[in-house]
Amino acid sequence: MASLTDLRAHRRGQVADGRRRSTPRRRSSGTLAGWLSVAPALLVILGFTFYPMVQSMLLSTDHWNLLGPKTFVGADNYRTILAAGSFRDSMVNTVVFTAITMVGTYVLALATAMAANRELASARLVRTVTVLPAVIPMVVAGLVWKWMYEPDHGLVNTMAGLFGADGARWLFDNHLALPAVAVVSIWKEFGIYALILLGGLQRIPDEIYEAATIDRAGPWRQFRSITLPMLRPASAAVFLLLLFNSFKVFDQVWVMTEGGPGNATLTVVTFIYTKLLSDVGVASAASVVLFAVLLALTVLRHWTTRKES
Amino acid sequence: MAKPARARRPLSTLWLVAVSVFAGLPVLWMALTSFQSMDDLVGTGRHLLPGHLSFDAYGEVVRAYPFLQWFLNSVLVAGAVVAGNLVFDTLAAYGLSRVRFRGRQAVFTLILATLMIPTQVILVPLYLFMRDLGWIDTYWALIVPFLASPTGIFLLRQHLVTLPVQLDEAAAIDGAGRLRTLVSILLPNSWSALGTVAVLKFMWTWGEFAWPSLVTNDELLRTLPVGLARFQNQFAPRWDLLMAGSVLAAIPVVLCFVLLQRTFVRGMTGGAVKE
Repeated sequence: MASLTDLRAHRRGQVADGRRRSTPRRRSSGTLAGWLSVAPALLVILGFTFYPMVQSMLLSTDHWNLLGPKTFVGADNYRTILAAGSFRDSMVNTVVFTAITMVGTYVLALATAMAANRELASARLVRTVTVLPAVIPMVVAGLVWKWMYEPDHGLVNTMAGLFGADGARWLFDNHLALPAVAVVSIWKEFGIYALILLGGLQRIPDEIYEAATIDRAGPWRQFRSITLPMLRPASAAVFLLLLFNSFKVFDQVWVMTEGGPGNATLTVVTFIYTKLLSDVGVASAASVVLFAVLLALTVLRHWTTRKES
Repeated sequence: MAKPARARRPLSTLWLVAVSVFAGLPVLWMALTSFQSMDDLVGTGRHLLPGHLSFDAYGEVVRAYPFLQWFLNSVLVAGAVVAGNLVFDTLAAYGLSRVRFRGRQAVFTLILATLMIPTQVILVPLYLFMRDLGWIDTYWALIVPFLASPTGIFLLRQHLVTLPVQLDEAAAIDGAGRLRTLVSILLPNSWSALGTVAVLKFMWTWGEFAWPSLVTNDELLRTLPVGLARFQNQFAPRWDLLMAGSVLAAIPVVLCFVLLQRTFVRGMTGGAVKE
């Protein structure tokens, strides 16, 4: 049976006859077959990711509200967002959100991984339960937690009441709203990261701990001198994933607070979203800034890992 | 922390119970809420556990809102995106791992670079592109831009390079062409990788929110997350209905998650060719 790629090539008259059945030797000249195989995916990616990315950069120098004419304004949009309090708020909020999420998720995931590593028997059940939140759509997670945080009837305040504590108006409080939203991210993701860290823990040979015990190193000392250093590759992967995902936070913020109260939970992507259809240039400029930050983080990470090895 | 820590086992157990409760309680709370009436939820004599199981919220959500339509939209969009990725990503991964051609390295580098561009930063121009194509408020905008993905290509390529080249040679000696080799020899040895890509794409597409809510205004074209989010904004919160809708939106991905676990096991125990 002739392959589809060969048949296509035939139709275009680009392949000499008698070549229907290729053999390994003939395959060495696979330029046509190669391009045909990558073409569909390449077209989608170039058209719907690369081209828009370039457009984003071009649009960021225009003033445009989608309806009227575009006017070139140079770096004006960048000056506008840097001067705008709301964009600065969104940047600060994103950084704070990222910090809370990274620390909270890492600590929770590491503790869970270490506990599961000691008790592999129960690890399977724990794995299923803790990873479950990760598969639920973020919008659903946001709605469930919005209901949990509901001041009068939500589960969080009801439980606080059982312990005699006063509840809070979590999502309506300027200082509590951002951490409250971050908790949703921690809840959703920590199980996955615990799995990655558990994999790292299982690669540490038992002998090292045995030797340390013989040398009378206590648990804390062992944790600091063996577990943490040996876990570095896994931790690095976890931090990178957390960093990237946290910087792009949007769904649960939009569902739970729409950036409010005030600008208390406005994040960079939320900012872009609010400007998207009214001020294309400003939204594009913010997109370019976000991309630059993510790019810088990637380059920084490459640079530090290369230095290490 | 294997052996020396044996003595502290109760603490580990306690911790695992605690995090399992933390992870599971919101899901349980969502399900419990969906089976209660609004009176039970916010009335004076409120209960944490439903007095009697009531499916009223499910009935109402399906009858009063185009919930089934949203569900079908989600199935259609996620199904089409998964199918597209399985075909396009596999072809590209095959080309990048099995065919020597001029420009291969450049294409691979380009695809790796694309991994770094988050959808969030191209929302604006992508929206404008859809508008120019006349695709706003059509399924095309929800499906076509996502028919291929760098992640899928990358995962499948990583898998294909581990399959021995002798497989291709044996197939060629038997007279199989490239496509035949890919379909009858390489793919049957790649179920775990294909399954992983399918499940990941399904979960991501199913949960997608920002993009579909941007390009659909027509209520009947909404996917489940968009429908849920818009619907919560329209009324004073009807938590019973919202949680019933949330359960419906969560069920397919949770089922998928169960499949994912099985796929991984199969992937580890499979392996037709051993060398």
